[in-house]
Amino acid sequence: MTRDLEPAVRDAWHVLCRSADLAPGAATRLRLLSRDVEVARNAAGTVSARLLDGEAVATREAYGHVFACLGTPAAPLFDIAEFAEDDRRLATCGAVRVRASGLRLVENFLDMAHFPFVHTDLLGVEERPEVPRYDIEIRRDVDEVWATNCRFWQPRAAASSAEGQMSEYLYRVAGPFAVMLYKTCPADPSRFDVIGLLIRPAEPDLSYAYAFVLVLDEASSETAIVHFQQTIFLQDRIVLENQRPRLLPLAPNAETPTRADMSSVAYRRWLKEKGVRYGTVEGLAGHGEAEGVP
Amino acid sequence: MRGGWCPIGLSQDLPAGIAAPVILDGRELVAWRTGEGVLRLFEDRCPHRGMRLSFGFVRGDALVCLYHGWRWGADGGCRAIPAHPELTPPKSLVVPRFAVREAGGLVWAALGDGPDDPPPETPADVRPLATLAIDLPADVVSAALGAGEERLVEKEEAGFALLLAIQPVDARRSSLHVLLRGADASPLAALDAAEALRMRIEREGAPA
Repeated sequence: MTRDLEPAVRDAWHVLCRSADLAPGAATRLRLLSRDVEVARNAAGTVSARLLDGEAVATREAYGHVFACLGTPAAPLFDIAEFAEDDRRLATCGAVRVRASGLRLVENFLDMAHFPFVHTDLLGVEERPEVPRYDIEIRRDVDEVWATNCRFWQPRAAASSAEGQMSEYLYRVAGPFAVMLYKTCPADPSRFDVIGLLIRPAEPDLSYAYAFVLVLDEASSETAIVHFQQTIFLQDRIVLENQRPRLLPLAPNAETPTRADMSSVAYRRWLKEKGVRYGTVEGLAGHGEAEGVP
Repeated sequence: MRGGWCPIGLSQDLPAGIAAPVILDGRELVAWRTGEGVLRLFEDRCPHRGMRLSFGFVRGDALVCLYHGWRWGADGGCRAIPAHPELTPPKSLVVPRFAVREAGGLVWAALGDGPDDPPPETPADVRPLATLAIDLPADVVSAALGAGEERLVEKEEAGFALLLAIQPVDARRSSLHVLLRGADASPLAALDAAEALRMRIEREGAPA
């Protein structure tokens, strides 16, 4: 049933749901990669999942979420080392449904240039829109895309910020549908806050986004942290649902990147090298009809 | 009619400084007017990352994309890329433009280069009323109104002389731009008549 999926997507780990949303003894049906998956937790707390037509699929529980792999896992679930630091707080934001390719969501997450216009007076101001040059690399040993030395002026960088700061960012694409950033922590400039976006691609042009925040912030309430992230993401959703086409084009001439889009360019190149087609314009023929694609 | 003039709206609904989405023959377009009132019709898609430009805003003589603030001039050329304030955008960076004209309170567009002939004339004594959405393809609406190949047809309805401009939206939908003839007629009562006409077309034209 999963043979038509390309290995780069079939054999990768994808988020299914939040851990907290699956109580002992509970089961729920979810859509993943155009398949119905049933995920359950037994009385002892162990999570399992299967395709609705019977086949069991591999699962992992980590980082406050449940993950699944529909094929044979090509690698262990990506490591987020900061989860081992016990002075951090985890806030999970839950699912947000977005009518767009999950790959578009990753690209939006990697993008600093939109801060002044989409997250005006929160993550950027129109008076300071410049994206200074940053570094980008595809790390072959871990098969990840990294953007480093990223800097951007932010009036209110996090729920805990009182004033503006020149934020420093590191971006990390850990899987085709998994992305995170490490960002200057307003409470402790020697360490980074971690913000992640885990995407469950339900259909090529329909996604569920699970954001989490792993921060050094003793002052803000969990509600305040989650509200801040939800405000940001709902602003992004307006853009994401109105990009045309809804699927991500991998052809270099389909859109017009500039130097600020180096991370998006590297991400598309990496997807192409890996043979990712799900959620791309190029994969349209292979995955049935997708709405809104010219 | 493809390639000919098609009505896409009433001039009064497109004031200066406004950008509005238009769908014509299934194509997503944005109609916008500069602060000085110059009307333009662009593809509703920023070439940078595909964002619909109708979500953007007009600043002076430019249409600004909501996503990254790229500024597009009335000639379709890119004026500025805020992420790179020092950069002069290349001349080749343009949004596709379409022909647009105004006549007698109606806005007309053509998807091709634009016909040599001007759009149809409207009588001098018309007032714009409203645009009505119809859940039927334009050819069904045209047939119901006895419009033939014409995009503009005059119709007597409940004692009002209505001028109706038919816009093909996509394979299932159309818009009817309604104007009223005669200086003495009541616009509100005429609007009721136009609404009754719309409902009759939808009822009669609906597939059995």
